Amino acid sequence: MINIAVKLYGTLAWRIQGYDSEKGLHLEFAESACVVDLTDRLDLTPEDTGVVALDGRVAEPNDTLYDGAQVRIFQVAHGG
Amino acid sequence: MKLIRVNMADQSILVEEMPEKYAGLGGRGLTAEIVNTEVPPKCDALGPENKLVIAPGLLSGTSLVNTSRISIGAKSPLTGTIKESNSGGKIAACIGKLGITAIVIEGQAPEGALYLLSVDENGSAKLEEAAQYKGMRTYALSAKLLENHGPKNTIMCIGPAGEYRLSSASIQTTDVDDRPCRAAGRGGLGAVMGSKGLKAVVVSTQGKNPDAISDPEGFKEAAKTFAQELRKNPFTSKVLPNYGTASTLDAVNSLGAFPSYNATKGVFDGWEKINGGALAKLITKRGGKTQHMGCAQCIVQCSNEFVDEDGKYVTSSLEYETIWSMGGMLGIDDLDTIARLDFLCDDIGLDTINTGVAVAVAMDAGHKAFGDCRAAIDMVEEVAQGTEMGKLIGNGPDAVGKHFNHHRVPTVKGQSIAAYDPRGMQGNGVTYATSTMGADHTAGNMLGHYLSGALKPLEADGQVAGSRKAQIGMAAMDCTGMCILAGVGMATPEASGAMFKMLSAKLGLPIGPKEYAAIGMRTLKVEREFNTNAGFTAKDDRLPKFFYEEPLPPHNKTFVVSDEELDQLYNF
Repeated sequence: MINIAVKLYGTLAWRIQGYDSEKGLHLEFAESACVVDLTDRLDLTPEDTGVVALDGRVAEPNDTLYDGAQVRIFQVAHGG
Repeated sequence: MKLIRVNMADQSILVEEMPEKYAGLGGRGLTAEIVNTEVPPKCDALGPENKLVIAPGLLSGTSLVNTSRISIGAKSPLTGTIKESNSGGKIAACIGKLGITAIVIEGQAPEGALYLLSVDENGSAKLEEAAQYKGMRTYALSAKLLENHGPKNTIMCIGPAGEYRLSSASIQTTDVDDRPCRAAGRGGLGAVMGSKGLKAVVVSTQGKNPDAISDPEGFKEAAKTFAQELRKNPFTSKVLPNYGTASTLDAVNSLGAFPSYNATKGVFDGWEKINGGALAKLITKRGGKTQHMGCAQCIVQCSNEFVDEDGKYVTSSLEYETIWSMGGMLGIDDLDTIARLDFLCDDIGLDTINTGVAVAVAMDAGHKAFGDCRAAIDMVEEVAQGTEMGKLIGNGPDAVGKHFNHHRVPTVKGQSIAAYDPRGMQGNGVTYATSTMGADHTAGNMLGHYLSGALKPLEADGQVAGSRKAQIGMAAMDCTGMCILAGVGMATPEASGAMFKMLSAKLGLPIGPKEYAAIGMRTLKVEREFNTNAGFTAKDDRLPKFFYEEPLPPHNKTFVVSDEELDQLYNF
């Protein structure tokens, strides 16, 4: 099993009742788990426009998760 | 379709029908064409030969939502290039409803004289002496002008920075709540307005004579479709109303491209204390407003109203770029300080981006420590006082860098970069380097390309082509009067189709994707021509040396797009 730290931003945080923005989530996955397994577990849909960043890089759905990964999921933005 | 020419030298006003050579143009396309045709490219930007052109977008003043962007153009005293800076608020819609296509401010008032221009509900313009408003800051000025001219007016004005003719001076416009908190910030156009001897423009909100639309029914139907698409789009219907543009902090810090501590780090240590979530939480707790309407006919409502601990108004609207320039760049993670700095810039009439970066350069040079909130506020306040340090800050990062003999000055053609580091988002570096107006994120922001996975932000591949396409698209949108954020909604075929139908209905010409792109290309070519005639060459389309030499943590990359690739941008 692997453990990853996940932080959610914008309206994505509303999906998890009692989500603590300072602590985030600590989730456990099987060794071969991919980014899509994470988004499925969080029930993210295309309408959520969630972008997954894995240690500072935009991840693809089939990218493999790894133990200790820092994941940030935020919404599509276009600046200000 | 009338054009009003105001000669500041003799205070005469000439109203003419739109000359044929400018027909069918609006917003940035029109300001570019008038400046390129009528302003000598090598003139003194603060001299009588420069002209300040005020033009609502092609669709401003129509029933279409989110079209109250006013384009203001001139030769820039900051960059020496042509410049268009646009602002929201109410004024574009109001000028559009008066049937005025552009107001051109020409010549220069006698030394020391100050005027204001008023345009009544019939579209008649007159100049009045404004000596009593000399030195006034924009909040007090706007309140006074609305008291004297009546509440059914909207204001465009300069503060002390514009009167001092400082290179970072902005032109402020009033929002729907009559506060001068919307800014045409970039390029120092407030200094051009100051050099003309024009303190303010007061425009009636009661205009009922917009230009005719050749197919009103078709326009109405397409406008309805466009609004429906915006209401369906997750970005414009959920993210922006709840978190505003501050939501962008999440994306750019997560990707390590948020220039912090004067662009020495790509992630700001305290970014989660100042991001969209933190801002919304604080505002809500104190009884301020998120989901606030800042501009006329806006249905996105990305604006906010920041209040202090006692619930008293501080500023509106606190935006991503300002949170960056006054926050991350200065090492400040306190929203109250950032909001105060935003208010000061609006009140003094300063570009928050150029001013924040000027303070960052001073801090990086050792003048004050990063994170020193009091020092940052004092430095900005000094601009209004006209001290030596205030003039340095008000003239922007290049002036500060030169004064302190400091090498790390993140500008292109004298204008500071915005909140995307070119080493972490290479395509934004391409836009900064090649834009016709110095480093300007709104000229072609590439962030969406990276979030969608269409391009890799740290590699050179595809960045020039991506930036070219983005710059053409933005130049076209800047002609319409559409807000850049609502413009994101054009990503769906239904919304873009509706936009083309509205432009066709307005202009009486068939407009499709090709013709729309042609509007953007024409605008860029006109701007480029002005710059070439002003003496700019490919050698000016480069980033400062440190971006090529100093790797940016956490990815530890430098800017890797070659000069040869940059020189391909205008191949269209």
